This record gives sequence, C-alpha cells and structure tokens, in this order.
Amino acid sequence: MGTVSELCASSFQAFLFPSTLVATKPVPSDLTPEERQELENIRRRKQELLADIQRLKDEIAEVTNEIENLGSTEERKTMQRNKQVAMGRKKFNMDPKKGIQFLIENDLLKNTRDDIAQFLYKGEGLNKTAIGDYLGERDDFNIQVLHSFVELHEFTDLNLVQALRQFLWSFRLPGEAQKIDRMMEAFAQRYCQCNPGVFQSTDTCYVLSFAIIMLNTSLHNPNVKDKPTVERFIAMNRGINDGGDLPEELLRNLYESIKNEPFKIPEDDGNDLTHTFFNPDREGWLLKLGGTYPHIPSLALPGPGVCCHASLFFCSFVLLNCW
Amino acid sequence: MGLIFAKLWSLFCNQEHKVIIVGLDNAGKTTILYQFLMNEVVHTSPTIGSNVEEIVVKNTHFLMWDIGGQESLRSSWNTYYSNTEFIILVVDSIDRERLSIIKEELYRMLAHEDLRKAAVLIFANKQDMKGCMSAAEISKYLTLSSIKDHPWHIQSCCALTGEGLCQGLEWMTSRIGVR
Repeated sequence: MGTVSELCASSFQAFLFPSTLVATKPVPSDLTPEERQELENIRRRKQELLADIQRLKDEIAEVTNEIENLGSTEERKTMQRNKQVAMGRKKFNMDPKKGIQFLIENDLLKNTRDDIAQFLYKGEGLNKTAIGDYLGERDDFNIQVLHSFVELHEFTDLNLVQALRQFLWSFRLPGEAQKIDRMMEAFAQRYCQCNPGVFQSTDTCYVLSFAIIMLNTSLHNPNVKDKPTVERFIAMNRGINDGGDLPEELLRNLYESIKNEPFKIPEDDGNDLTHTFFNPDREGWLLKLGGTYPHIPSLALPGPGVCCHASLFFCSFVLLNCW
Repeated sequence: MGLIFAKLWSLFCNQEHKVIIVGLDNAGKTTILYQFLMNEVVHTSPTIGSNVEEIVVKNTHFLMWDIGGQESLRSSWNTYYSNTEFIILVVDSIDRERLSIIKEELYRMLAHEDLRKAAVLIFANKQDMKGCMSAAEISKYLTLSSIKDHPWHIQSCCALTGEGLCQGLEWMTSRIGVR
C-alpha cells in the first residue's frame, strides 16, 4: 500500500514539475537491481546528451549571429570603398591629377607608377581623354607612369600600324605635338622590346611612328586639303633608318593601311550615362507634384550624380545639366 | 571672261597659308590656337593626330599646325617645315630659364632651308602674370633686331583672355599683301 501512495505522490510531482521528471521517474518494480541500475544509467546519459544538444544549439546560434554581423560590416565596407572608387573616377574624369590624388589619399590606389599605370590601363569608368591628358603631362612622374602604362601593352608579332592601333585605343591621344612626341617615344621603346630585330634602332621606330601619326592627321583631318601622296610620304621618310632608307614596300603598306582605315577615336567610357544609372551617388524617387506640364515632375532638384527611377529620360536631361 | 577672272581671283585669295606653331611645353600654343577659333563654330570631326586648324581672317585662310618644338624629335622634324609661310613662336614670358633654349631653337629654324621664306611672329604670352618679361626684354634677349633675312614681329599677349592675339593675326595678314 505504502508503495502505491508513494507512486501516486511521485506522479503528481512529475505532473507539477516536468523538469524533474527524469530524476523522479518511477522505476517499474518488476526489475532486477541490475536492470534498475542500467535504466538509471540510460536515463542519466539521455539527460546529459539533451543538455549537450542544447549547448551546441546555443553555440551555433551565437556563431551564426556573429557571422551575420561580420558579413554586414564587411559588405558595408566594400560598398563604401566602391562608392569612393566611383567618386575617384568621376574626379579623375574632371581633373585627372586631382582624381589620382583623391584615390591615393583614401588608400584606394598605391602611389607607385606601376599601380597607377595599371589603374589607367584597366580604365574602368575612366574617360579616355582624361587618361591621355594624364599620360601626356610633362611631369617626371607622369612620364614614368606613361612608360609603365606602355609596358602593359603586348605588341609581339604585330606590325607597327597594328600595334599603334591597339595602343591608341587605350587612351585618347592628345593633339599637342610635344605630348605625341613623348608618347611615340615610349611606344617605340616597347614595340622594339616586343619585336627585336624589326627595326635597326628604337629611334627609327620612333621617328616612323611619329610620321604615321602625322600621316593620319594629313590624310584624315578635314582641315588639311592638301593630302600627301604615297610618294611624298616615302620622300618624307628618307634617311630615318640611321641615315639609310626604310624598305619602300614597308612604307607603302603603312601608307595604304592608314589611308584605308584611319585611327579610331577611342570610346569615352567615362561619359557613358548608363554608368550613372547603375552606379549613382544617391538614389531615390521623384514625386510628381503636378503643374502645367503633367508629364514633368516638379523637382526638388537633387544634387549631381543622382539616379532617379521616375521618368528616366527627364532625369538624364537633369543629370546632364547638373554636370 | 569676268567670271573666270573673279574665280581666279577668289582662288588666289582663298589660297591657304601654312603656319606652324612652335614653342616649348606649356608655353600656351594650344590655348592660342583654340582662341583663334573662338568665334568660329568648330564643326570638324576630331581626328587622331596633332592639332591642325584652319583660321580665316579677312578672307585669308591660314592652316595652323601645332608641331611643338624639337624636344626629342631628331632628323625627321624638318620634314614638317616644307611650304611653311609663317612661324608662330609662343614664348612663356615667365620662364626666364628656358629662354636660351628658345633662342637656340629659333635660330636653328631660321637657318633651315624650308623656312627660308617664312615670316616669324613671336607671341610673348602670359603677360598677365606677375614678374613676367616684357616683349621688349624678350626681343632683346633673342636679339631679334639682328634678324635681317626674315620678316619678324613680336606681340605681347595673354592667351587666356585673348588679348593681343588679333594684333598678331593682323600683322600676318598684312604680310601677305606685301608678297
């Protein structure tokens, strides 16, 4: 009888305090002492495992939480960085020197000739006229960057005009003769380095490269009415090969190539409006506030470089004006 | 007959006169060239190559080539001199140090066969800057008065504002009448 009342009491207690259920779980009376011992062991083990699982769960939750936080700060950092790089590019397109300075000051670009040259060579989002302006500066450092920039080009197995076409596509050649001169000198060095044996000396290559640029000017600049003939081009290049002449056939081929296909003006990526739409400084919506012209939203005019989702065409017009 | 004569006359008048613009880096050549063009609408499509612009003054056509200076171009440089009627030499009036280079350059050009008949216009640019040399000073340094075989003229100017540029062009047109 005593055991029955005991049993009742314990089950009641278990009902009241479920957490203590295991400890006070009744043990069926028809078990041998060994079996009882076993059962208790099993129960204790189960309890331990449950506690372990809980602990692990907590730990995982904590770690995931940490990872999530970590990710978002990292993301924020890269976003911030990208924004600054984009701003640096815009500054560069307006004033190359200031743009480079900005990028260096913000640790987005290393202040070495090779890093800057690499940045210009990739040219992402950069205006090619601005690249040409930077490379054409007479400053010693700019000239060093120019040389590093030229070295990033691969001219092996290209003929001189092909190589020039490739080179002149990577930036907009400035119109000042002195700048052209420096650029052709750097170009010729690289060309001869990639193609040893084609020219007797770098000087020959350089003078000829310059002559090709002038030929392109004479043949294709509409201001020049008096177009040189191939004979004149050949005559103009007499004696440039260390005092000797270059093979006439070579000059004829160069002339024909330039005559048939002028140097292309490189596309100016920096002025591309799509760039602004995909990479705005600020984003937002314009509210149409009514007015006489129903399709023109009244603008609380946003700052420059803002992308607006409403009426794209109108916004692009606004953007142009802001600049 | 009259028509033919008129045509010939206009052909003669519209004849282009080749001008080369020379001077050291940063002297203001490009600024001057494009100041000349200020009043015209630039409608030519751009071409890769050196700056070449046609400038019309009182029915006289000048074709101006920016050929810079002899910084490092060696033998081939003079091939661009042929048929030149005018040399515009742009001098940075602040840059006293490099005036000797300019002098050397000037006399080398004047001695060149292809430039035998060319007249020389010297622009003493950047007259708005403090401490600049006057046209007279530059003239003295370059010993312009010793030049007997080429017509020459020195004109002080400020390329940024355009001051003095017209007078320079006027001198050039006046020279064409002489020949």
